[in-house]
Order: sequence, then structure tokens, then C-alpha cells
Amino acid sequence: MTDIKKPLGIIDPNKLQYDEEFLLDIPYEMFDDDVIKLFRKNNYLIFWCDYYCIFDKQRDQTQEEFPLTALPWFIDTIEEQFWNYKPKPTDKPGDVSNCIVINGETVGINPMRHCCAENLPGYSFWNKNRQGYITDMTPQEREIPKYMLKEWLLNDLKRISTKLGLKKYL
Amino acid sequence: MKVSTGNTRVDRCFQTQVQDVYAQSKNALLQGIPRFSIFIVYSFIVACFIAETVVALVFNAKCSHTTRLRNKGAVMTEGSIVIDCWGELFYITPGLGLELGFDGPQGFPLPFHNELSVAMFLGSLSSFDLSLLSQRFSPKALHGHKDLQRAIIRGRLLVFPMDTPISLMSAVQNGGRSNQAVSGTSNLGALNTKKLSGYSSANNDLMCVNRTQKVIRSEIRTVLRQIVEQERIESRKIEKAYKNKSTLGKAGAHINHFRKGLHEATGSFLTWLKEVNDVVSINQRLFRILIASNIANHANSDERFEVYQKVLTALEKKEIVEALGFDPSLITAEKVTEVYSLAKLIHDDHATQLIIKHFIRYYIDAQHQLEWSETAGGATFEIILTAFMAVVTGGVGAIASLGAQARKLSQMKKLGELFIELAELLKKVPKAKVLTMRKQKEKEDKAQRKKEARQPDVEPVQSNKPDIKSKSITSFDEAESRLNDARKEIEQRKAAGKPLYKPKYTEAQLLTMAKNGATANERFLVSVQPKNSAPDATLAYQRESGLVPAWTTSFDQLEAADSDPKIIHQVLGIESNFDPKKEYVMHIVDRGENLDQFGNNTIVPTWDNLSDASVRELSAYDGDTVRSTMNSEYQAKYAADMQKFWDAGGNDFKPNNIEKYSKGMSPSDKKLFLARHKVRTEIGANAEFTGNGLTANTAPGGGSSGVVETLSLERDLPELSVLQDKKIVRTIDLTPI
Repeated sequence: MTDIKKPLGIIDPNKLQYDEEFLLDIPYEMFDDDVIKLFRKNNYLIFWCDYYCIFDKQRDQTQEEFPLTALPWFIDTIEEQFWNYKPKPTDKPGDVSNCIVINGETVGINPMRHCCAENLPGYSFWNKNRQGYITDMTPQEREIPKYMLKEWLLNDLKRISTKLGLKKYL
Repeated sequence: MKVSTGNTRVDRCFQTQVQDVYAQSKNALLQGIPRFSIFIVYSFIVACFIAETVVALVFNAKCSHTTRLRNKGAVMTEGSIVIDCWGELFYITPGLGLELGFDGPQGFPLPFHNELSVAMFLGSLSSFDLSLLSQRFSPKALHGHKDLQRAIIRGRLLVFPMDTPISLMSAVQNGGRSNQAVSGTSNLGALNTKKLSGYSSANNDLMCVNRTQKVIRSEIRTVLRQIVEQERIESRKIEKAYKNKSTLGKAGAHINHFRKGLHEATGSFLTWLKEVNDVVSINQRLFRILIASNIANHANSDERFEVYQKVLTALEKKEIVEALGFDPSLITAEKVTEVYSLAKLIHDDHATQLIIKHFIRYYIDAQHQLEWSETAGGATFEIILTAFMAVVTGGVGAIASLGAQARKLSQMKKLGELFIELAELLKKVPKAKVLTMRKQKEKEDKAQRKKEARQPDVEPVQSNKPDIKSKSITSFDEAESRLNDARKEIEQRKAAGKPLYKPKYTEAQLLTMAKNGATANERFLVSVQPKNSAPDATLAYQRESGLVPAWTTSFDQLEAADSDPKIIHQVLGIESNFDPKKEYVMHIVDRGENLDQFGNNTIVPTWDNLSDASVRELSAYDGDTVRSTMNSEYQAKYAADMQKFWDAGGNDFKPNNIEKYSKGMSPSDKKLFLARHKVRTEIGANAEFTGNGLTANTAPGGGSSGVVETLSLERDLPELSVLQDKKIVRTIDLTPI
């Protein structure tokens, strides 16, 4: 039985609380209506998203929450376990994802064939112990195309990790 | 924005003013609070009456149109749709101020999660709007922000997402009918169209609105909202009475009794639905079928079927009339059958089913959730049947059973009339031909026999004798040489006037290979793609079908198609993607002797294989859930859901689109849908995936299947140039024959 963690509450970027800190804007060029920002809230890393819902015809907000220490794990896993992965003979079809338990929360990364657009490779970063604010179901997931990580995002994440004192990247 | 401020009417003037205010204040909204319409539900009739008088005075002063219209005698009947009045469409409600046309996807009010969002919303309203609202909701009738906030939080003031009545408007406009004045005395062109209720209205050409399924569903939603709102009012009254009793210390120790009373007063509608469920549940029906069969067994063989039908119909009728509790003479057995079939027709209409499911959820929310949470989503058919019965019996029967809920009778009758109207429209929609498995098999066998008869020149392929071509290749050079040989054979067949393609394997052999998965262990894989010289081109993800992900096959499977791009596309089942103007290449992938250079994660994508791989990959999802989506039955449902999603304008690669769409589903459906869609985006199996591991061949000379597919699941696919440099991939140009 998955231990569902209590939601942290949607961040209001215009009224940040004392334990909230803006870290980064993450523009998705394929979703130009969406505003995606990275925050720190206490000991959590938050991907915050303001989007227009075509069904409700209104703007809404959602976010994905990860333990802060998952950040260096994300960076290292992407680089070592995905981009420089040496297949093992014991790998079975579908053994393509990685996960870890941090502070009682299982977080992981899956490769995606169609990430945010058709035929665009990328990754899904998920937290199995938290329910999506929209779906009310586990997991929470943030999809990031590979090219964004390759071109700039991973470097920014490394900078943030260094700045927050989580892990130093040169 | 639309505002309903009256117990019996919506005033267009007021709406227009608020719309203007809305336009001005739109930019002031933080983070883009959407367009809203305000919807006011009365809690106290007396208060409403007084308030309405005040509002009427304001309106009379501000909106001379209203006065003029009334003076000129335009008929504005309650419950009528009025169109083209001052160039606008509006609706006069029959009682609770429930409007048509501004439905969100579910047609229910927006939830405000906290006081801040309520305050932000109120901040967007003009002082004029606020003063009107304050008259309703503030005891001091002044600008009572706090009172209004409280009213919204407590659900007395409901805010609906504004979706202009497009369905209605477009129905009017597309109907191509000019608006006709019902009242000849009106010079303003005010038109009174039709009563909301009334089956006859669908067929009445004198009416202005050409009623579409959308319009009728919208009205169904409106009636259901009314029921929910009544329930909320009722609940609040009872709760208030209870609180008063508590204050006086009269009922402190009797909470359970009080709750029981509450339950009896408000819950009987659901209790009744449950009783109807006992009648219509599949188990009960099977039991009645069994009884009918037993009785029919005793009849003469010629009459058995007739006896069976009569007995079954009589049993159904008996059960229903007992559940509904009315005189059986009021309804004939034939009528029951008819009602059943109509109810089934409506129940099969997915959109209506969703509306009713939401109604049930909101109905339960309007009461006390604990007792009835299990009923949610499970009583759609019962509600439809009840509504039909209410019409058929004139409501007589329902009175006895509904008891305290008899006030719902008129609404159920209205609902029934709308259902009948919708059923009439649904009947006209051509239905997909349903084939039984037996007929399907017969059809397939027949087609196969025809195909075989048409292809006398197709030689038996892949005999049991060892064939050099059945040997696996061991190098890229050998691959190219074999392709050259294949080309020569094709050219010979072309010269002889035979079909160009001669399959290497029979259908049966292909099926066997798909099942045993041997193809996934071939050393050489191939992928055919449009030529792409970009340095960052990758081996996969390049196909332009828009539907088919980068499935590959083995060289062994495809070599018979030579290097002709058209034949290859035909054999791979993607002929429609073939563009003769484009240049194509074949990437031959050498996985190495130990299959460790590339794609050691390769499978033949049958349902079983894909299911195992998906469960392993999607470890964040429940394995059983993922597995239960990996079959043809669920695939059909997924395809239908995706079609509706696309019809609604959704982008299937935008996570919040998919997640929002899934909110309209029951929790179990949502779970399955989200898991299945994850397989789609992460692994690639789309809504057209067949799951038998074979491509559909369209090349003349071949059977119905082309080749055994393979799917490589990779953590990261290096750029094509890297693979080529490492001699893992050799790319050859494909030249048309």
C-alpha cells in the first residue's frame, strides 16, 4: 500500500511564503500558454505550472513535489544511467527506468518516446507517494523533453543544486 | 458573464452590464481567473421575494427594454428559451434561476479552494454587481464583501464557468431558420420558442430552435442541476433546524436519530434508485431469464421461444411495477420492453452517461457523503429508467415509491421527456455493425479463401527444405548483397507480370514467430525512415505517420521487400504514409553477436510481451492496472476515449490536458485510462496498436500480414551519426523499382 503524502499546497508565486523560494523559469516552447516555474518550498523541489484548461476554459495551477535531495539524484541518474548507460545482460525488456526512496518517498525517472510532443524523446520524473493535483491519483509526474535537458536545463539544475548546497557541480 | 438574479428570470440587460464590467476587470484578475458567470441560488423564499422586488426596481430603472417588452405584450413564459431578443439569447428559468448554455464540461459550479480565490473573484466585480449581490446576501444590503465570501464558501452563491451558449446559438444559426416572432404584438422581435419540456417540441417545425443532441443534453443537465440545488436547499434547511435544536439542548443526545431522519428525508431518492437497481441488475435479470427458460422447457418445441419471451416480459414487468409501486394495469408489458430499450439507448450514449454520473456525485455531495458515497456512478441506468417510467406512467407510480421525494416527480417527468427526445435523435445515428465472434470468423475465413483463390501465382514460401535465404546474415555486406538478389527477383516477377512482392513466410509462420518472439532475438534489425541528414537525427522517432512510433523489424523479415520504399511501406502496413516524392533510407542495425551493441531490450510487441515490459517500465503505476489495459477489449475503449478527447480539442501529449480530461471519468476508469495513456507516451503503443505482433500487409502478392514487428525499449537512443560512426548502423538509400 503506497503511503500517500499530504499535499504541500499550490504555491502562489505572487505571495511567496517565508519557506518558499523561486529558482527558475522553465519555458516549454510547445506549450506556450503554460507558465512553468521551479521553486523550493522548505525541503521540497516544486515544479509549478499555470496552464489554460481547454475543457474548463479557465486557467488553473498544478505542481509536482519532490524531496529536495532528489535534485542531485535526478541530475546524476540522467547523466549516468540514461545518457551513458551500459546495458547489462540481465536487463529485461522494460528495465529502462530508475527509482530511489528519499525520505520515504519513491521518486523515479522513465524514458519517454513521446514527451510533450509526438516523437520527441524525453523523460518523466515521478513521485509515487504523491497524488497529482489534477488527477487525485498517484503518481505526480513532470515530463521534460531530452533536448531541453541537454541544451540548458541540466546545467541550470546543476547550478541550483550547487547553490542550495545539495551537491556541488563544477 | 451571465448573472441570474431572479427567482424567475434572467435579465439580459443586467447580464450585458456585468459582461462589460467583466471585460474591464478581466485584466485585474491575478493569474487569469477565467470568465465566470454568477449563479445565485436562493435559500429563503421570503428573502428572495423581497430581494427580487428590490432588484426589479433597479432593473426597471436601468433597463427600459424590459419594461418596453412587457408593455408591448411579448410573452415571456417561465421555462422558455427566448432568442433574438435585443439581438441576444437568454433563458427564463422555471424556478431556481438555473440557466442553459453556460456549462463547463460537467455543467457544475467551480470549486473555490480558499478564501483568497474567492476574494480575487469578488475583486473582479464592479461595485454595481457587488451592490446587487449584497442585496441578496448581505443582511445590511450594503457592500458586504465578507457576506458574499461566506455565501460563496457555503455554496449559497455558485459560480459557473461561462461557456457561452454555443450549442444553442449555433443550433439556431445553423438551423438556417429565421427567427420568427411568436408574439405578433412585439415589435422588438422577441421570440418565444418552446417549452423546455415536451417531447413534441423536437418535431415541431414552428419552433425556432432546431434541437440538437447537444441542446437536449444541456437541458438534461439543467434539470439535474435543479434537483441538486433543491437538495442543497433542503439539506441546509434540515441542518439549520438541527443546529437550532442543538442550541436549545433538545437534541444533543439524539444525533444519530436526527441523522436517521435526515437520511430518510433526503435519501429516499437514492434508496429508491437502489431498489430499481435490484430490478435491473444483471444478476437479477439472469435469474429471471433462467426462470423463463425453465418454464419454456415445458412448452411444445414450436412454442418454446414465444413462451419464453412472454414469461420473461411478464417477469420483468412484475419486478418493475413492484419496485416502482404502482398499479400494474397502468403499464403494459410491451411498454416495459419499449422503456427498457429506450433506456438502454440513452444509457449507451456516453455523453449522457457522464452527465448523469456527475449528477449522482453532486447529488450525494449535496447531502451527507458518508452514507451514499458507494452509490456514486452506479445508478445511471436506474435514473434513466426512472425518468422514462415517470413519463410512461404519468408519474402515478413514482409517487408511491418516491414518498418524501415526490416533489422530484415533475423533474423526473421532464427528464423523461428529454430522454425520449434524445433517444429519437440517437435512433437516427447509424450504429456500427456488431458482429458476433462466429460471424466475424466466418467473414475472415471467407476473405482468406477469396484471397487464396486470387493468388494462384503465389508459390509456397519457406518450404521445409533448408533455404539459403532463411539463414541469418552476419554482416552489412551480406545484407546489401541479399537485397540486391531480392531486387533481381522482383524485377523478374515484374517482367512476368506477377505481383512484385513474394512473402518470405506464410501467415501461419509469421504468427508462430510473433508468438515465440524469435524475431526479437535477430542480430540485424531494420528501420525505414525518410532521409534525414541532420546531425542530431536519431534512429527512432523519425517516422512521420503521426501515429506509428519507431517500431522496427528484423532484416530477415523485410528482405523480401527488397529496397523498394513503396513495397516496404506496404509490407510494414504504413502505405498511407508513403510519399513517392520523398527519399527514403533503410537503417540496418547490427546488434552485435551477443546482441549487446543495441536493443538488448527488444520485444515482439504482442499484448503479452508489451504488458510485461510496460509493467516493468511503469513502476510508478499499479502493475495490475497497467496489465488490465493491455488487451484488445480495453484498447477499443481507449481508442473511443481518445477520439472523444481529440474531438474536444485535446492535445494527447500535453499532460494537463489528459489529466483534466480524465477527471470526467469514474475513479476506476480514470486509473485505467491514465495508465494506458502512459504506455502510449512512454513506450509508443497508440490507439491503433493491434497487439498481435504483426504488421498489416497491403502489398499485392502477400497475405494479410506483412512482417513480425520488433520494438526496442531504450533508456537513451544515441544520435544516428554516433551509431553510424560506431558501425552499429549502416544506412542504405532505397531506390524505387
